[in-house]
Amino acid sequence: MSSSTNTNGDFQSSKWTKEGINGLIDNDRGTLDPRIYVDKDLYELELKNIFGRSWNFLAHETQIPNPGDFFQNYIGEDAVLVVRQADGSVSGFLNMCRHRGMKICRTDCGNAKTFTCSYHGWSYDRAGNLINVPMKKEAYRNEIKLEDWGPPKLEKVESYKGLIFGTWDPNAPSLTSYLGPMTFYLDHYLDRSGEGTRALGGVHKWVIPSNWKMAAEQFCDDMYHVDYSHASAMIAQLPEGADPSMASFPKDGNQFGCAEGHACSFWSSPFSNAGSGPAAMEFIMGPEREEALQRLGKVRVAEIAGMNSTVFPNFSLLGAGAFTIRTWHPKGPDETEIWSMIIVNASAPDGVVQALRKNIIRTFSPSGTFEQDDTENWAEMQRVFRGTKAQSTSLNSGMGLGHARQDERFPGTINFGYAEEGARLFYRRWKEMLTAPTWRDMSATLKEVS
Amino acid sequence: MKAQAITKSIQRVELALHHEVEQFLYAEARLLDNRQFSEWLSLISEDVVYFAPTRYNVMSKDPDNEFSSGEDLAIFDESKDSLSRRVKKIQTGRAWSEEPMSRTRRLITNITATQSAQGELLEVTSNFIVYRNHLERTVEIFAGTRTDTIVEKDTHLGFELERREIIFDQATILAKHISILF
Ligand code: FES
Ligand SMILES: [Fe+2]
Repeated sequence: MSSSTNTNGDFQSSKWTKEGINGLIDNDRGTLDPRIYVDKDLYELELKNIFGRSWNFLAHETQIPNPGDFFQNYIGEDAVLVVRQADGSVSGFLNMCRHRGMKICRTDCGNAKTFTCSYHGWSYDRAGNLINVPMKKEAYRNEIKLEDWGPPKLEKVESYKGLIFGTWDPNAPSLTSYLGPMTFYLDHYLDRSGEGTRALGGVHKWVIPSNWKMAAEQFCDDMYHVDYSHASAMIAQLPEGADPSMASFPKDGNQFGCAEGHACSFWSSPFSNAGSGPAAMEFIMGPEREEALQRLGKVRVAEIAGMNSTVFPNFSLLGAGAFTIRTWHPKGPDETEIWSMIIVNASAPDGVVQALRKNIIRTFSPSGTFEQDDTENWAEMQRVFRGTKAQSTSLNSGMGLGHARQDERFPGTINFGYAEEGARLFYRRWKEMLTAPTWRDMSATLKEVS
Repeated sequence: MKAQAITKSIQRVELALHHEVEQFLYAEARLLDNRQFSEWLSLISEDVVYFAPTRYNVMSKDPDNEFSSGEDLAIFDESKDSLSRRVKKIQTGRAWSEEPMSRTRRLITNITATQSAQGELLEVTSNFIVYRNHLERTVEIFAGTRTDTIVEKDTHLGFELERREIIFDQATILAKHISILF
């Protein structure tokens, strides 16, 4: 490597000890310590030991179809340029010039042959190799070795059914191994059609004054909040004259969690797309469902009509047939930048895509009638946790504790949809990844760990 | 979707009509500030197009890439029905993003009005700054421009809104949500 990236779990320099961190999450009693949302030292450890080692979502394949297409994303607080290469592969590298640290590329996306730093003009190729420095002969006397001064590159970039992920850690297991049993559930979104999925243009970006884990955790398992948090949005979706008490979220769901920290909850009635109108519903309940049944089997289609989920640490998906994906980018312990996009089945007819697109924009986006009330709650919670009394008062994460089961229909640990199994396993992984020196010290069975 | 280029010869409407158009926009903004949402809705055409694109950071040589299209993501892509449901949501009294109620003040300026050759439709551009204050100390400020198509109608303010395109001057929306209308 041309630069030193310390990817070993390291908390020796932190005020936190392993025991201290383990004590923050008590899954035997079902409690959380609010300091996980506010503590600056924990946040620094998260950036290094979690985001520095995990697989992170970078882009959808269809966002960068052609050589030179690029999309700038973040891993933790590090800006990463994700670029399609001439051979069709994808490279990712730190968006930081090795001269003085300026951003190499300052636009959000586009197509480029080379990237030239706007400070002194060092330029890099599509793979992040330094290829030219101005006045190389006169100023550097030809003594600079260009090959030594490229930015750090992602050690691994791999795709799972259209979603591109990358990691800084050369020792990380393969992406499918990292995803573990989560792939069974991701297929609900990604593998319903032989034509795959495609990303619509544009990215929603907005800023919430709250810790990234509030969002990541809620999306991983929380069906419980829907009836109350989203009552107004659900009432507003009812047909004219309907009784407001009909605004109720499905009560039949299941929940999945695993040692890898990913989790989801799912329900069997077609709730998620109800607002997209009859034409879209006809497609989703008709040919779309038919093809999905053939590809995924009865259990995954009938029992999973809609699903919210989080791929550890901060990538979430929600919906069915068309869905929103979002990264909860950490921007300090008390700020999150949400980046969300819409993914649709490539086989969906245009009219259906437009109806689903509008429904997602109107429900889950900065102006989304559902999403508004989520961010409202998280922002207020973050302010509550400023208090020292608040920080020393434990929170209840015990819903459904002791009632997890194995279910031959579904891989992983399963509980009733209204439980906090997903959150408990998410936080179990969180503390493990904060403190484990190497992947070998993490409990999930990761076959390919080197 | 692109910001409107300034055309050389602007066919301005006559002074009295321009004044009425201005008063319409001021009154409409006041209805929203006053949370008179049902009255505001009655000014909206049944086939309204109400759209706000997302924006990317792009270089000046790449202007076509800046705004999302009508088939991409958008901040708003609304119909009369969906606007009505936004209002209905707020009126449930359980829309936590607006409960307790926010305080908003819409400043509408730089109004220009032109009339199509057929004379029916008025194209009106205006700039806005919207100040939103919520709870103990949340402050959000939205700045941008709007291009409206309005037509004289027997609404209580004399015009109906047929089309509104809103351009927000933020690529990353600096707010925890957009729970208000523009
Ligand atoms: S900082 Fe990039 S060339 Fe100097
Ligand atoms: Fe929610």
